[in-house]
Amino acid sequence: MNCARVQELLVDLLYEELDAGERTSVTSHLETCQACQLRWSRVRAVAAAADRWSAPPVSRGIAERALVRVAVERHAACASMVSSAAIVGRVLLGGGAALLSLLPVAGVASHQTTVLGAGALAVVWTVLYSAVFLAADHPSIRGLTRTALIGSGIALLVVPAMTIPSVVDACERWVRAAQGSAPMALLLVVVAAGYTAAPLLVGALSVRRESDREWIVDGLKLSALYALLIAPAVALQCVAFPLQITALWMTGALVGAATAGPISLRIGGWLRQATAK
Amino acid sequence: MADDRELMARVTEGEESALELIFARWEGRLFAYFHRLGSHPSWVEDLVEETLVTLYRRRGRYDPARPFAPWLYGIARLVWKDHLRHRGRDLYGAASLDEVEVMPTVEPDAIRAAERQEEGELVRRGVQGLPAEQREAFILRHYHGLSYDEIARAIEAPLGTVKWRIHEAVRRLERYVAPHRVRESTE
Repeated sequence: MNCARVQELLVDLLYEELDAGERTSVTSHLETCQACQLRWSRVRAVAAAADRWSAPPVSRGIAERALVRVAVERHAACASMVSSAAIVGRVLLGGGAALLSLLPVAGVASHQTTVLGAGALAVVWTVLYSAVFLAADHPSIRGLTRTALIGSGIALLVVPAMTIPSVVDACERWVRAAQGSAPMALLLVVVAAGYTAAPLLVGALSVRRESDREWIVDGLKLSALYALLIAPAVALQCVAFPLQITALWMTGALVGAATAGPISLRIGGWLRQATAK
Repeated sequence: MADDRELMARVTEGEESALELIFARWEGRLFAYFHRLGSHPSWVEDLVEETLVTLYRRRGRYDPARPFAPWLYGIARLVWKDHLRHRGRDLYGAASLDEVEVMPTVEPDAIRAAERQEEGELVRRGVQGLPAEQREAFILRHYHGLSYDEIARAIEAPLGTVKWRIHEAVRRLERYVAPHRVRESTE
């Protein structure tokens, strides 16, 4: 082992990060090489000097304060444990929200659905809304569920615009064109993505969140909640579409919902930082 | 005495005494960690408290098959980064090592204890003058005894990067500390 290699390994020798073979080679070399010995003594001098910097004694009561905060959080979590009465309340609330959501959506697709189909949709939507309202009781996800509800509300408000006859005609022509044209199909995907992403972006940016530390994870949770809420509406829009168009529209809607959550939380974080400055 | 992994398993099951033990065991080390990173003294306590509370909140994410210390220092690092993002400042009362090098040295004192204190102050300035990533890796290795591999896990960096940062930190400190020691010894 030459001097350059030995000197590269001196810090690892100091911190006992060498394997037995390397350690033996380095120590053997040090016994015979004055230049490396000098460098080794300097490295050890740095370590010895660093040892002289002691941290001040820990302040008293930090752990106790942390335990108090944990106890408060535990208490809050217990308080938010959902009772059976609360479950019934959330299911009723979910049913109300589902019926309210059906009004604009069933209006646009009345020629596409049967009474049985609308009933099945109402049940599915009631379950989804109830689950989200129950999730909203948990402190760690409350903000996200509220944001998802606001986003889906905005998305549903846009739906009645699709009942305008000229819009319906344009959509039908577009769907026919998309079946044989790659650019039109791509445009369909982009529009579907915009249709689901825009309401969530608006909803998320209107809600102030406390921390943006985990914006990707939280953003994906937000996207998942939002996707659950708008899934019935998107599915209903596709009832009369051919399979190929349904796949394109669903793909676009899914991509829009999945990306809007993290992006909106990231933008929200930047806006907060900018306003804080 | 139960090790940290056992305590964390008990914390996950909801045992409060285990949480108390783990908080008491780690508050001192976290206090020293944030202090050495260069936090303003008035913020160190808050940073330790926030790290401990975050430990509790994330207890479900801890994998008992992996060592505890890198996981906890990983949390401490996130708390520190978040703190810096909001405060917008890296270090309290520290200059970069280049600036530190032109600072006048502390006059040697006749009393050995004072000399040691001065040397500690010299090293403090040296360590806190390191670039943030080197400082972090050096502190975890030298003062908290984490292996290179554990540091790589804590800071989510490749092993080679961690190794380079520590080597570079020691080299910089060597260049900074040695002239002062020689100067003092000749005075």
